[in-house]
Amino acid sequence: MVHSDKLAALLRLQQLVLDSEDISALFTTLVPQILTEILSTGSDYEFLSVVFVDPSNQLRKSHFAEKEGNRIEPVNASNIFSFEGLFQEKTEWVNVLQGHIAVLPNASLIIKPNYDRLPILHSVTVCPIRFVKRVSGIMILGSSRSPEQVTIDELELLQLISYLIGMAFRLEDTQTSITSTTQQIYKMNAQLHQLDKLKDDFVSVASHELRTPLTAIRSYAWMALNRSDVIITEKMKRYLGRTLISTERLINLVNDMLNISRIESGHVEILPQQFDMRDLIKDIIIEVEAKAKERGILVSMIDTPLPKVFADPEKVRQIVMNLVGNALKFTPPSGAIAISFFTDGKTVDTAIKDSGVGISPDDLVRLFKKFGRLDNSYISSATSGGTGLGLYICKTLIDLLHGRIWARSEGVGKGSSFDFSLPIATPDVLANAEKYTIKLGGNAKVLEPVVV
Amino acid sequence: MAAQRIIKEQQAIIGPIALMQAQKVQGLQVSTVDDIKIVGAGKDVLTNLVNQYAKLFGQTSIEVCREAFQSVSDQFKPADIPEILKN
Repeated sequence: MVHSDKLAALLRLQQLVLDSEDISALFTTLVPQILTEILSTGSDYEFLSVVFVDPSNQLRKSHFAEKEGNRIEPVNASNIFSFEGLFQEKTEWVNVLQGHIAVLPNASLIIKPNYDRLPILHSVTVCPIRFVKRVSGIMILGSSRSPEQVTIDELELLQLISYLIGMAFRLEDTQTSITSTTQQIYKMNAQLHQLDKLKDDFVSVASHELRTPLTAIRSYAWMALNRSDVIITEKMKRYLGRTLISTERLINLVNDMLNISRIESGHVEILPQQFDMRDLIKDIIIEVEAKAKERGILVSMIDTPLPKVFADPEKVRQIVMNLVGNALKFTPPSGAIAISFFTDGKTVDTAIKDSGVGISPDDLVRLFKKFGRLDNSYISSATSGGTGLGLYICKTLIDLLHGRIWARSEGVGKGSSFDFSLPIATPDVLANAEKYTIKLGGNAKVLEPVVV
Repeated sequence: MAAQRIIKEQQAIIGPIALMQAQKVQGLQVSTVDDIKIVGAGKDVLTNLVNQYAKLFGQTSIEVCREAFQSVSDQFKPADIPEILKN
């Protein structure tokens, strides 16, 4: 039965462990406090030490506190103990390993002769500290009393204190593991962040370095192909045509890569406002008119009354230019592209329908993935000038705009329709405008325009 | 502003925790990453901010703070640069 004063001492120590904000420094304050509490119960000890070992019995760390008159002083105990003597006392040591307290009459068994208080010590109490079902350390108390003067009550209290130390050690060990894991994760995150920066820098530098010569190649190829004062053979015309298309495709690829890098690294702002989709579509039709005429394709808009949408018009323009550009690429001459709208009162759906090559049902799911172009053959890509990134960019942008994008086709040769929905500027949406906005201040980057 | 640079750089690595930790720093009033005020000695506050991250995330976080600080270090007199941010 533990007496009330001893129980109170134990509770105070427990509180100290629980209240500790810095677990890593817990034992520095706990060990002197344990000695103080033990002395307050009337037991007399000269010192108290707590020694922890790792699973291979190597000393992990130790703490030592000494009675100095009425004060308790923490002391550097690096050269006080030598445990070989204790290990040779096999019976006592086995008892300790089995979880029992040993009170040794001969202090010099574990204390080196250079310890100045050795002559006055007449007993050393060794109490095991258990952690995860094994002895992970010992608590050592030196006293000027003989072993017979150490009472059962005292030993009971020491046993309870050793449990508390075991618990504190477990807390410290857990915190050390968490801290170590956290720091490792942080380090990995920092490395990834660094790599991401390098990637952004590389994409940025590479794209600028690539674009300049590519633009020059495109210009000279176009001049060679279209200048009327230079006579070139049909074969040469074909070669120059290929050069021109491939160069345009490379320029588009560089622009798309730049855009993806900017979107994925979170450098794109979304600044929504209310606007009429029909106005934006009309503008785009005017913009692509020349190209459509050149290819013999009719582009039209089916005008219906529409509520205004709430989105970033520049990003929507980017999406529509991509979709109309694709429709132009994959619709044969004399075909048609019709842009229509639908609304259910919550969103406005815009459908860009063409009479082009169409898509098989199996391929529809792959469309919006990176490099998800269906026919990857050189001729197809060279002819279309597509990069396989445009629809992925559309999907990423539409996600940022809280919209949805999908494709429909009845099959190969039956045309296709690319539809996307955007939120209507309802009072509810406008009241939550922040949800639809991404502001970046100085870190924002604009997207490279889509060239049709 | 140096504190803002440091918090933003930490935010890029650990997300919203960076702001939560900055809010615990004495002398730093943080509402959002764009609304940060230093109350008191700037040098000490910056040291506290770096230490706050170092306490949780170790030496690498100090390196990250130093790198972030470098971009604004020319606005500081040498005597005003906290020791912990010197390379």
